[in-house]
Amino acid sequence: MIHPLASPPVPGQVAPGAHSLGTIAQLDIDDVDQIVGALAWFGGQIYFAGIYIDRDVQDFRRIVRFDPQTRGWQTVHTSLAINTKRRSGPANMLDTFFPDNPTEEQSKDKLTDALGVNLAGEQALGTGRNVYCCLFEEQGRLVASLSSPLGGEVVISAAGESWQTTFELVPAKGHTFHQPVPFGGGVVALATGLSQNAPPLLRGEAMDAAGWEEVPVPGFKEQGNELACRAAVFADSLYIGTRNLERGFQLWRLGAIAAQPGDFEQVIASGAYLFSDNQQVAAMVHFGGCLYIVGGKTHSALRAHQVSGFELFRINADRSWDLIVGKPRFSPMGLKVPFSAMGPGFDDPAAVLQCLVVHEGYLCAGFASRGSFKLFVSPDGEQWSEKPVGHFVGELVAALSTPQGLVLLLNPRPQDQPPAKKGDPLPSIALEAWRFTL
Amino acid sequence: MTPPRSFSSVVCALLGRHPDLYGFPELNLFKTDTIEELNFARIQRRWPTAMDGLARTLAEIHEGTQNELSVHRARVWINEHMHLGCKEVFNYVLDYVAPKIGVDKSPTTILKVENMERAFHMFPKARFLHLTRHPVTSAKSIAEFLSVIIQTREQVGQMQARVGWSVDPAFLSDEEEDLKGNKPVKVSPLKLWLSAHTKIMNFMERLPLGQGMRIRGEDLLSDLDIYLPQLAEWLGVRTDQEAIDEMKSPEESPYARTGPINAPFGNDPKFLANPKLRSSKVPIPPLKGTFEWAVDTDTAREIQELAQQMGY
Repeated sequence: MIHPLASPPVPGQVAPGAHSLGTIAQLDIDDVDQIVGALAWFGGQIYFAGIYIDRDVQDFRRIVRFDPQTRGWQTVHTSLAINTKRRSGPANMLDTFFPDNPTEEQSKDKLTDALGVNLAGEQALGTGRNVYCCLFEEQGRLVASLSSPLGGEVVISAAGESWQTTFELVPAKGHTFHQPVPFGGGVVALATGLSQNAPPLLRGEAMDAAGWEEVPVPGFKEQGNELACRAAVFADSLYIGTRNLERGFQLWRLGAIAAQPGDFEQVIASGAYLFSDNQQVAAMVHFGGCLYIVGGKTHSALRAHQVSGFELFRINADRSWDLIVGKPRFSPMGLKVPFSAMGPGFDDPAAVLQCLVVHEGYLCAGFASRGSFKLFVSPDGEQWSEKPVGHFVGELVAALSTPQGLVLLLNPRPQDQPPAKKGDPLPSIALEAWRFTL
Repeated sequence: MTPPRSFSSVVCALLGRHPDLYGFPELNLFKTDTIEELNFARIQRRWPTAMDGLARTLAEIHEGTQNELSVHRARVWINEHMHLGCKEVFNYVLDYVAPKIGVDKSPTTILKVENMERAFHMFPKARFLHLTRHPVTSAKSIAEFLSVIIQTREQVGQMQARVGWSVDPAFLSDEEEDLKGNKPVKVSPLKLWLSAHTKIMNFMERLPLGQGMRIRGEDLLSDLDIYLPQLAEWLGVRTDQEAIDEMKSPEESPYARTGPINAPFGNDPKFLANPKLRSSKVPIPPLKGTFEWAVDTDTAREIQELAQQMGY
């Protein structure tokens, strides 16, 4: 159930220029472990796609749209994925429904028919961080790519009202993916890594392609890369940033989709020479004719797209790179000193990156610092200053630049808050939406 | 800033050969507050070489030579200035080498966090270079070094005995059971590597941005033309080719050879025996599967994580 009511801003907490866009409340989900989502601007309206992860058995996927007339959020799409292996309670959900103990595949088929939902396999345990949500406009359509350990799906809508599921996979049977990027006459997407021996990249003819094929990246796994985490097209090439826990992230450039082994090039290696302090690329955006990327340290308490102690780099068209925010270091390319004169996490090594977006000619970095959300902005990528947004606690779920302002969606529940114990009152789930002008 | 046997002597000599810098031998002036305390530690810890580097430095700056007589006079100077603070003595030698900037690499600095903090308080604008070496090759060399220490203690004791010196037992604490210094040293080289680098990392994290930097010794020694100019740039000294070329002759350092009998050391014995640069690249062996057997599981995990932070 969605609450259409806007919550009034708390006096003294919100900076001038901030406007509430209400809350997105969720009353029908117990025991939410995390919420991962994305915002999109489509047809002059704001959309939010979110995956609400229940700790035990299911993921709720919901797409909502902001109605400026009622100042509320309307549901335009829902789906559900159920895990057949509970993390607590009965060992196997199928045993609960089918005590006569048929084969697991038979049970899944029966439950799928009975509930009309997608059933996943046994991947939930230990993979709860691998939740990805993308929402974007492509060829006049709104596309959502939703993926969790319980399965992946791509849904497309022509007008934001009715949605068509164009791709659906469970990790046990195939590869799930996220962050589709148009490239080379088709679409390239990043594998979530939930299936065994997943290649880093998948390719489809279009977003609504029925089949996706693997794109081999020679040497990718051999060099310790677990996944490709972020992708962007820049200077006619596809750039992919990796997660590499032991050696540090790598940034690869792919010149063409029908690439020969020599067409893959490492633009940055060894976590930009901070090694395992820079394990993962967490964000990539175009700004000022360059590609800006964020790398940092990953941790089991963080979301799949978050890093702490993060550093900001600028990739130039000639494939050279500059350190913008981070630790000075020696490198094979010469001494790297942060152009902003700021250390990791904008001088807060414990800061967790939550967004990197371009808005009104500014590059904006949002991060959690000691429990509060902070926003730093830069007109040129080098000179950074803090933009006061008021005192927001909790976790940023999504950020989006719109013609009406920078929209931030926050979950006021602290990210490191332990889940409620059985029998305790359930915490309320109400995401707060705010619009800011810089 | 590095544990023993991590290329510190050669790197200090490389830096010290820069026209704007002066590389000292091991002065050990960050270990204590006063010279008297340093001398006490020398005696109490059966550490006869503790002031070799300082004596050689004083001989060199006072008389331009290091022989038995000049070193003897340097030691007399030290005895007459026992009341001075280590900072005063450091400033004294720095004044002699000015306008060059001093470079110190005493391994005792990193044994305790308080020593590193003392260095920072003495010289708040100093730059700190964290030099690393692969844990396995480092541990092998440390094991070798520990056995050399024991031999050295014996040899120096014998040499000192020949010139009539002896340790006054009154200076030895009850803890010092073995007056001859040949008691087996129960130190795990890998744990020493872990402990030292952990302390250094903790100290470096508290430094202002850019005041401390880390470099893999293997990288530096394998690609001098890439890394020496960067070091010079970071230190704010000349980066022209002439200055960089000058740095590549560590054997030209006045402290790159064994000193006279009354101050033979002040640098790593292996470096003193062969101070020339190797022409070959310094290999970096794999990390996993090469050391775990030598330590407990938790220590192995800590070593692996720290080594990976350093790029091994």
